[in-house]
Amino acid sequence: MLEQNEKKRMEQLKESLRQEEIPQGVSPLAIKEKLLWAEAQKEDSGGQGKDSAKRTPLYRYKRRKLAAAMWALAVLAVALGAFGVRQAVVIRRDALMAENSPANRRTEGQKNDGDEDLQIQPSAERYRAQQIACAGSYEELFRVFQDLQVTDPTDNLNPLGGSSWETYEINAYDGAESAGAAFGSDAINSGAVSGGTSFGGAAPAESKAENESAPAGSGPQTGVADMEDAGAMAGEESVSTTNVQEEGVDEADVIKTDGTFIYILQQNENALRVVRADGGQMTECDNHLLDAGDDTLEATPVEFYASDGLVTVIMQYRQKFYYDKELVPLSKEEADARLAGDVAAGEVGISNSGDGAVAAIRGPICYSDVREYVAAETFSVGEDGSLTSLGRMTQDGSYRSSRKVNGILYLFTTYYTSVIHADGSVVEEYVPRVNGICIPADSIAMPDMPSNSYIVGSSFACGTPGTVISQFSVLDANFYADVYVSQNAIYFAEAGYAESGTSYHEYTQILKYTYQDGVMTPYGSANVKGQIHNTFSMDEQEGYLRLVTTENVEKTRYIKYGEPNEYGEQEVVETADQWFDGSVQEHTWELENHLFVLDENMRQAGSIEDIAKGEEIKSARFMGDTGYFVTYENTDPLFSVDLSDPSDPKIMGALKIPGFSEYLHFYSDGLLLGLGQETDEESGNFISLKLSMFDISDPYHVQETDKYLLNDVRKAYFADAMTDHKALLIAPSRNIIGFSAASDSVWDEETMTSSYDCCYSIYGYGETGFYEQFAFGQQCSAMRGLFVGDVLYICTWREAEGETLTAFDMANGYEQIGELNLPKNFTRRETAIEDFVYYE
Amino acid sequence: MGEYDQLAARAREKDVNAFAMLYKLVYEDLYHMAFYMLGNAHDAEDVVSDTVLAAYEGIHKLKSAAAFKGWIFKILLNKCRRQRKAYANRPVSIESGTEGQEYPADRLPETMAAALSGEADGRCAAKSGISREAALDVQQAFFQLSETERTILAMSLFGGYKSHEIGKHLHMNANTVRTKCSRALGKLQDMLIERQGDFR
Repeated sequence: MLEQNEKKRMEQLKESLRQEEIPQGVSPLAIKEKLLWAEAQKEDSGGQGKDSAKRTPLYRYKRRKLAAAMWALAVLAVALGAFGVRQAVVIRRDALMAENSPANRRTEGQKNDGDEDLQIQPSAERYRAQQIACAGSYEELFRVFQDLQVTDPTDNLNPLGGSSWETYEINAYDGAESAGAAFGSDAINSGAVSGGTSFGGAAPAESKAENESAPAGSGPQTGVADMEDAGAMAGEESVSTTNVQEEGVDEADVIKTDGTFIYILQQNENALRVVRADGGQMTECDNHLLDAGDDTLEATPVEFYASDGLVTVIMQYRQKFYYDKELVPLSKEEADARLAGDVAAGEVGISNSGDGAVAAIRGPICYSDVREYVAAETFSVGEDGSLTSLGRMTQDGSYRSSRKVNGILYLFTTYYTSVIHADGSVVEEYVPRVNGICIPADSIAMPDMPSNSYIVGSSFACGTPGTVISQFSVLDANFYADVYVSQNAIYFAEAGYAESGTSYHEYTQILKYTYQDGVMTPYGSANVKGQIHNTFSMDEQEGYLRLVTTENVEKTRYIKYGEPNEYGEQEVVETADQWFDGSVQEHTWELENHLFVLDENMRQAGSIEDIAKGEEIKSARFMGDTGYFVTYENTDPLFSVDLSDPSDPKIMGALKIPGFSEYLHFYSDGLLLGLGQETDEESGNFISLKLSMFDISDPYHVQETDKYLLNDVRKAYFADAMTDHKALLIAPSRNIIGFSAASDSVWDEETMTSSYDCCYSIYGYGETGFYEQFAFGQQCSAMRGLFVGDVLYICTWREAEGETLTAFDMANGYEQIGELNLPKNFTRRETAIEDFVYYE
Repeated sequence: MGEYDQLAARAREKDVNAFAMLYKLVYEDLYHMAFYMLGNAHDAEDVVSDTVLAAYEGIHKLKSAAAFKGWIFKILLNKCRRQRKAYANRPVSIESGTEGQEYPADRLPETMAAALSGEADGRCAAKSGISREAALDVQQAFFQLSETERTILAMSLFGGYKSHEIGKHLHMNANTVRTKCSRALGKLQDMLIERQGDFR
């Protein structure tokens, strides 16, 4: 959803752009003539329908033109300019992938086409508690794919090939009729699902709210060597931890510490660094290279966990374009000559890889047909800080998220099927695999509206990655919004859209899986109005799921404009909900917000609907019986909600202040911290990033006790912590609020990297409000902070150079006491397409 | 929706007048989306013509009047997609400088300039008080955006598409679409501030 500012800009943009004059040839009058003429031609030649259209001169002319274009040499565009090389590649890849990939072609003409009237039921029943039924067999699964027309008998995997345009056209129109059945309102109304074993419903006894596996006390994983630090007082955190949403449920990150070592992921070059942190003394113990893939496969590390002496790194493997090629080294003169147009026969381009070597390329482009998958590799950490691999687990698909609870990792991916043999004989083509083995049919859930993509989940003990504890998959109809994991259950939030007449309805499907000791069990699902903002929009307490959504309701209106006045402006003469003579159709949006409480069987217990119309939810946080959320248009009502009675949630108060908070954090008893923006009340223009502290001791009368505008001290436009809660270093017991904020960006021509003016600051909150205790400015791409005992460590990422760790003594005025550089291992070893320049 | 349904019913019977009335309701957005996606008037006109023809021929498939707009836009999108494919296969002039997507840059100012010099027949009356000069600036800035960005904006502004639908068309997820959209707007803002001080 667009923010208010952006909506205005879009409207203004449209006003300007629509002034482009429409050529006479496509005016309604001219079109009418054309059609009349076409009808006349048909009568003359005696034909009917589609065929005759092909004989019209216009049509034939178009076909010739298109045919000519197709027959033109398949060459790749040359785009000059600083960004030219990368962009030339990008467009070609888009064209190849988008147009010719069978998987992508297939989705045309399917559900959400045209005009199926899918009714989202009236408000009282707009949620639906559904049981999740699982597939009885792979055959059943295959039938779904057949219905979705994803089987392709031509098995055309060559991205440079393509089927005839005729076929494409037919699929686009006819698909709507058969695929429409998948969206029949009956399926939603009945709640029943065809076939398969039914799980859920009768609540499995073991998955209850009282989950003993949740560790009590001080918070998420602190890991192996909790250093006793003389400087830390009793009850205070001595080692910083990743700022996670739910106590006891660890989240992966790119930098972590266990009190002895600091672990840093270098994404650009596939390495995990281990640094021993001993006060200001930092020594690199391991510079562990992670798999970078090969010619056909690209491997990217995403994030990792580090606790209990084990480090688990999550890597994403993807296909990539590559040249089935021969590389012939060139001298500078030869390269210059080629760029000037003196091209040798058989060459399709030259490579300009980062380290300066230049070579000519021969051979066609290929697109590796390797399935995407995620690998989670566990390393044990030795006394000396070195990493030893204990093995890995692989899972089909693209990484969504993961969690670690009590040493067990829960991994979630999205898997899209690609081409499938028409007889369904090769099961591996349409069933996702974990560790290379297809998930059994009875673990694959099939909701009412299946599609050709899956949510895949698996669990394993970090120390034994080869052994899967449990796995599941769900045929996934909607779009991934987020996943929330409480101490008892996993909730997938999927964004759904349905058409009803000419307007769209947004809804969220929540899928619930309970988990314990790695065993995940499907429990149920529900649909609620609106979409969630992020994972913090959901919270579970005593089995009840509380969530807040924003619904963007699209309405169609018909407007008649009057005659232009002397300035060329037109007034609105009349509006209506129905079409009337002289009117034009326009769309407007209306925002509404809702709060729902679902019981553990995913049935609605209570709700508050249509809150703060015209505004959207920017942040939310729940604690115990109270929930807080912020909606925003130009001002920020911070709502407080009484959730003590699940069947009757009540709004207790709404504090209106300018700007909005993007992240809320319970700071201490009676205090709620907000990170967000200050905006102008009338125009909505950005004024500054800000910190807010709210006194919530009386939720009926919440007060803002202090606010701190970053721009008062130093210019900053964005801060990672606003949208990524893990980028925030927060330890209320030590009065530490740390994050980096950035202003201008700088582009370096030579290294072709960008960096920002960043400043990492530590703020505290005292009797006089917020104050900045420490600031560290750098030109870099990102900064993160953590502490061990009294020492603050700031990690600075620089895209071209690598990382630097700097240590500061917090007990001594933040005096800098150490620095360690971790230079990049090597420049990109590249045979990837990004570095190639193509000839025309 | 009485009259609208009647129109659709008559159009299905190949009543050219009725069809033209339906077309009139959407043609401006239709053309503008094609124009801003393809980048030149000539191809946009061709594509819209094709679309209308195909829609007319296939009108019997239309289930309800309310769906007409979505349906004809879908046809247009498919045709634009093919047109882009054709572009990718064409030799490209070196001056283009925008992701290899060719557009005859000299054409555009002509169309707007023609309007400025009064040759237009008044169809594009300035609405909301935006001057034609300012609109021209905006348009020129718009064509400095990348093809993906133009497609996202064109589909959103004129086709009324949501980010997930645009995502399907461009094969990226909805969040990526929204991010790119924001960035594109930011870029436009920057460009226009440079040119003329403020983008209203």
